[in-house]
Amino acid sequence: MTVLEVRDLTVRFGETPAVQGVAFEVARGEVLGVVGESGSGKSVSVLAVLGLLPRQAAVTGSVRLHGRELLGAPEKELTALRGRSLAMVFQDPLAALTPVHRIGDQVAEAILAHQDLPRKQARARAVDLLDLVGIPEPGRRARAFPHEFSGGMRQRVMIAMAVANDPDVIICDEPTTALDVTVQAQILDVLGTARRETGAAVVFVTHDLGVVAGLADRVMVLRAGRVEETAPVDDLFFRPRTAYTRNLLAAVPRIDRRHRRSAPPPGGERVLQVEGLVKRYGRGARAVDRVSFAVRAGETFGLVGESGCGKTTTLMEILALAAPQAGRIVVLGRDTAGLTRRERLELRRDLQVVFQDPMASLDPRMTVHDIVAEPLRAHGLAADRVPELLRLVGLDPGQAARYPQDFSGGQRQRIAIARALALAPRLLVLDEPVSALDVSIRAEVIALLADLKARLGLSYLLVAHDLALVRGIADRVAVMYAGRIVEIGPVEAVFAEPRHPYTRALLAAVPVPDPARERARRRAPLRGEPPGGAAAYPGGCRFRGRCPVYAELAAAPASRCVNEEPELGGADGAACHHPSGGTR
Amino acid sequence: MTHDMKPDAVAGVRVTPPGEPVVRVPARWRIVLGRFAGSWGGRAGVVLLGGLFVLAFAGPVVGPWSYEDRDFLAFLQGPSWAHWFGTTQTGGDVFALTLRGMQKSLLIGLLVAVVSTGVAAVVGAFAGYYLGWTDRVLGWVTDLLLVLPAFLVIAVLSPAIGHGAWLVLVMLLAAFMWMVTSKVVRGMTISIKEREYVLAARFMGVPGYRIIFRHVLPNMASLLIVDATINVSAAILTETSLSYFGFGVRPPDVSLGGLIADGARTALYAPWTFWFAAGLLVLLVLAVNLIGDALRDAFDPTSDGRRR
Amino acid sequence: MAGFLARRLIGYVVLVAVAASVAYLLAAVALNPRANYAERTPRPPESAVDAQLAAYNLNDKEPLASRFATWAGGALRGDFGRTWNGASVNDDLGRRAGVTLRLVAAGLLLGAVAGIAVGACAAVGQYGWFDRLSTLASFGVLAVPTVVLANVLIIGAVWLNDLTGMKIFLVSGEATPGVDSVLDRLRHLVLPTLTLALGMAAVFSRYQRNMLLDVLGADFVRTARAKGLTRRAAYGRHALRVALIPVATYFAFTFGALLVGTTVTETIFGWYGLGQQLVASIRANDVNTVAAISCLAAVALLVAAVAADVLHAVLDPRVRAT
Repeated sequence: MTVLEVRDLTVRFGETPAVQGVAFEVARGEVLGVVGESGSGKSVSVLAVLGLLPRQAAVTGSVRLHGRELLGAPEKELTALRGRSLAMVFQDPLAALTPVHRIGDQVAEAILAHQDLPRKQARARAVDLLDLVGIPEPGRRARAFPHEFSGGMRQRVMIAMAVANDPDVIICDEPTTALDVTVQAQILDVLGTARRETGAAVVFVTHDLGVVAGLADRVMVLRAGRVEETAPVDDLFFRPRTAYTRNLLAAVPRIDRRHRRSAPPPGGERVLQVEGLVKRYGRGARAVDRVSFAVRAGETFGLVGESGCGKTTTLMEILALAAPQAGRIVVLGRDTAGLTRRERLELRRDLQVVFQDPMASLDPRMTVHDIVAEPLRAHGLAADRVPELLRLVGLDPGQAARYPQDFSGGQRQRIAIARALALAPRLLVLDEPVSALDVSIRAEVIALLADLKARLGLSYLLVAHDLALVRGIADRVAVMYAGRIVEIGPVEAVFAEPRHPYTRALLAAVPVPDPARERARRRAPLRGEPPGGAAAYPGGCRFRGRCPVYAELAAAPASRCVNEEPELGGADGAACHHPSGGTR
Repeated sequence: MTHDMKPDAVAGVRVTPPGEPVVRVPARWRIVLGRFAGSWGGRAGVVLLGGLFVLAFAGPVVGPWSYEDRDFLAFLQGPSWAHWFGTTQTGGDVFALTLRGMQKSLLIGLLVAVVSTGVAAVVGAFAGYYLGWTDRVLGWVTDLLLVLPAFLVIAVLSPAIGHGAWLVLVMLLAAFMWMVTSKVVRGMTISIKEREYVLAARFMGVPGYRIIFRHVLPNMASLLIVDATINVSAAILTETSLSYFGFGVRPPDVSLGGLIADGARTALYAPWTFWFAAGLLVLLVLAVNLIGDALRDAFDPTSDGRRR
Repeated sequence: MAGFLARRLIGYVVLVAVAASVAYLLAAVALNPRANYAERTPRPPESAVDAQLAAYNLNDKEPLASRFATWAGGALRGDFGRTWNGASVNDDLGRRAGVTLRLVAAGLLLGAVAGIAVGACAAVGQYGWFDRLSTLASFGVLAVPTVVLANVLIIGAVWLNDLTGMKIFLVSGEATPGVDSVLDRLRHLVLPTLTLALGMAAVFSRYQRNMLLDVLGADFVRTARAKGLTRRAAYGRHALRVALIPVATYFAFTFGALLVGTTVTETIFGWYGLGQQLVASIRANDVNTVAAISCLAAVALLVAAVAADVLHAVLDPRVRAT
C-alpha cells in the first residue's frame, strides 16, 4: 500500500532548479534509500516533502500522503501532519536539539503537540520512548540537557521523537553521517526497531552506498537534481542500468577485498619513529598514551580509530617537531627534543601535511599562486617552481591567479597537495585526505597520491577513520583506541585476521556495498560509545567495558583484563590478553 | 627560448595566459562592493557623508565669516543673507562655527576609529595567537582600561591637554575605545588559529607574527571594517558629550558638542543656535551608521536574501 | 568550578584596587583643590588653607605617596574621606547613588522590554514592513546623541506646556521641593526616563533582532517544526528562549555600566545623581569624590560582569556544566 507518493517534484532557489522532476513512492513498512553526491538535491527533495524548506524556495509538482495533496495545503493542516504522520530525523544530532530544554521535555513536547494528554503522562511516555531507543536509565537521563549526551545518544533521542506519535512515514536525512562507524551500526539497529514498532515507511537519505545496501528495499539514485535510476536494491547493486551508477559503485573503496599493491622496499630506513609518546591536556587523562610506531621509507602507514581515540593528537605532536611530554619522536634520524629553532625550520622541509578539508586548509583570501608559494617564501626560496608544482598535481598553471573558491573540492585538495610538495618533503602526513570529498572524486585524489608516491619516492603517514580507504592504500596499519594503539601490523594481516576484539568489531561495523553480504551478516553491534578525549581510565584494559570477549570470560581470565593493562607484544601484534577470543 | 617561461617567476597574476582577463580585484571584494552599492542604506550613507564632508571643508571657504570672527552689529540674529545660519549671543557666525565644529568631529571620528581599531586588532590577535603570558598581560591591561571610567580620566586630564592639542584628545579617546573589540578579535583569533590553513602555515615554518598579519587579520577584515565604522560614530558621540561639559575641544576652537551646549540655553527663543548644530550632528552619525550597517550586510554571506 | 570562580573573583578585586588607585593618583595630580580657596574673598591666609587641606588629606604640599597611603587606608575601611569643603564623601555618595538607581532602573527596564519586543517582532517578519519601520526608527534614535535628545525633549515639553497652558512635564530635578506626591515625582520622571529608554530600546531592538535571526535558521528550530509545533510555538519556546540568553547577559552588564554613564541625562534634567556629581566634582577640584566615584564605577562594572556571568549560567545549562 503506497503511503507517500511524490510526482514531478521541482524545487527552485531563484532561477536555478535544485531538484527537477523527482518522483518516488514508498509503501508501508518499506525502506527507500535515496543516494547521491553533494549537490544532487537529495536533502532538498525530502525537506520539500515536509514543507520545511526556506521561504525563498519555489516548490512545484505533487506530494501525496495517503492520497492527500500536501503541496499548497494550508500551514495549519501541515502542522497537524508533521510529527504525527510525517516524522523526520536530521543529520546533525548536535545541533538538532534545543540546548536549553531537558531531553525528556523535548520528547514530551512532540507527544503533546498531537495528543491531548496531561503533561505528567506525556513525560512518562517520553521515558518509555527513550527506553525503546536504548537510552540507559531513561528516567534519570530524561532530566539531562542535550549537551550531556553524546552524538549517538542524541540521535537516539531524535528517533524517539520521530516515533512518538506512531508516524506513517519516517524521513531520515543522513542520520548517521556525523557518527562513528560503531555508533552508526547501533543507530541503524535502533532505526530498524523503530520501523518494526511503528510499521512506518522509511525514506533514508545518504551518500553511503554501504548503508543503503544493508537497509533499503529499493534505492533511488539522484544526480544534479534529477533521478538517475530507481531500482530494487539487488538490481541496483548487481545490475545497475546507468553508467553513473556503475561508476559510483566502482569508485567506492571496498573493505572486504584484497588489494594488490607493489610491496614497499623491505627494511627501508625509518623516516619517522615514535616511541612511548604521551600527550595530556591540562590535568585531564592522557589523550595519547605511550604510543609507539615507525614509518619506513617508501611506505604508507595508516593510523585508524574513531573520534577521540587520539590519532589527530598524535599527528599534531609529530608535526609540532617539539619535545613531547614524554617519549621520543625521531624524524629522519633527528630527535625532535634536541632541535634548535633553525634545525627545526630545516626539518620542516622534509615533513609536510595535507589536511582533511581543502576549503579550510586554503586561505580563502590568497591566490593559488600565493598559497603554493607560501612554503617556498617561508624558507627563503624563489617561487618559480609554482607552475611546475601545479602541473605535477594535474592543474593548469594558467589558473594560478584564481582563488580557492573558484575550484571544485577535488581541485582544491590538489592545490593543498601541491603546496605540501613545494619543499620536496620526504614524509607527507595525510590527515583524512579524502573524507571531505565525494566518492567519485575520492578515487581520483587517491590515484594521484599513489602516483606521486611512486614518482617522488615519498612516504605517507595516513590518518583516517575510513577503514576501506586504509585497506586500499596503506602498507601497514595501527588501530588506536582511547589513546593507545591496540593493534599494529601489515595491513592485509590486520584486516584479514584481526586479533584484537576492537579491530574485529570495527571491521564488522563497516557496511559493505553488497546487499547479499549485508543481509547474510550477523549483526551484533558493539555496545557503548568510544570514550571522549577527557575520559579517565581505571587500570586494566580500556576496552573491556565494551568488549564482547570480556563479557563472555570466566572470572579467572577476566580478572587479568581488570588488573593488568595489555601491551603490544613486539613490533606487530595486538594489545589484548585474549587475542584468540578467550574461549579456546 | 626562455623568455616565455620568465614571467612565471614574478607574480601570480602574470601566469594568466593573454586573452584571459587578469584578476586584479579579489572576487570577494567585488561581491562585497556590489552588495554594498546595491543596498539603499549604503548608498544613502555614502552620499550623505560625502555631502557633509564637502560642506565641512568647502563651506568655510565660501562663507563670508570665519569661526573666530565676531559681528558686533548682530547679536543673536536669525538667519539672513549676511549670516546664513544666524548669529550667537556673542555675535559669532553660526554657519562658520557649525562647519568648524563638524570638521573637528569628522577628523576626530575618523582618526579615533582608525587608531582604536588598529590597536584592537593587534592586541587581540597577539593575545589570541600566542596565549599564555602574552595573553595574560594583554588581557589584564584590556580589563584595567575597561574598568577605568573613560569619561572621568579624559575629563580630569583635559585641562592638562592644553589648547589646540586635539591630537592628544584623539589618542585619549582611542585609548578607551579598543578593549571590547580586542576581546572579540582575541576570540576569533583563537578559532582562526585552529583553522587548517593556519596550521598548515605553522607546519611550513612561517613565523607567528607573519601568520597574524598574513592569515589571521585579513580573515577578519570584515569585522574590523565594520568595527571601525561603528567607532567613528562612537568617537563623535563621546567627543560631543565631553565638549558639552567643556572637557573636550576647548575654545577658541569649537566642536559640535560645545555649540550644542551653548545653543541649548538659547534654543527656545533663538532656535537657529541649537538646531543647525544638532541637526548636522544627527545627520553625520546617521550617515556613518548607515554605511556601517550596509557594510556588515555586504560582508555577511548569510544575509544574501536581502530581497527575500 | 569553585576554584575557578575564586580565582576570577580575586582577579576582579585586584583590578578594582588598581583602577581606583590609578584614578586617585590621576585626580590628585591633575586637580588642584587649593584653587578653590584662592577665589574666596577675603583670601584666607596660606597657613589656614594648608591646615584645612591637610585635614581633608588634600594638601598638595604633602608628598603624593603619603596622601595616597592615607586615602587607601581609609578606602580599605570603606571611608572615602572628605570633600574639598569638609562634607563626608560617603554620605553624599549614598544619597546620590539612590537617585541614579531610581533613574537607571526605570529607564533601562522600560527600554529593554520595549527593545526586546520590537526586535523579536522585527526578526520574525524579516524584511517585512514592521522590520523596515523599526530598523529605520532605531537608526534614527541611535543617530541622535543623548545631549541632543534630552534638549529636544525639553524644548518639546516646554512647547507643549505653553500650548496647553498647564505644567504637564517638569524638566528639572527629581521632585518639586516641598511637594511630596507620586504624581509630581512621575511628572519629573517621564522625560529623563524617556531619554534613557529610547536609546536603550534602539540598541536592544537591534541586538535582539540579530540574535534571533541567528537562531531562527538553526537546526533545532527546524526540529521543533518537524515535531508539529506551530511556527509561533517553535519560535517562542525554542528560538526566542535561546536568543534571549545573550541579550539578558547584555542587560546585566549595561546596568552596571550605566551607574556613572547617565552623566548627560542627570545633568540636563537636574537630577543630582552620581553622573552629575562626577562632572561637578571635577569642576570643583574635589579629588576624594572623583576617586570615590571611580572606585564605585569600577565595582559596579565588575559586579555587573559577575551578575552577567551568573545570569548566563542560570539561563544556559551548557555554561552551568563547565
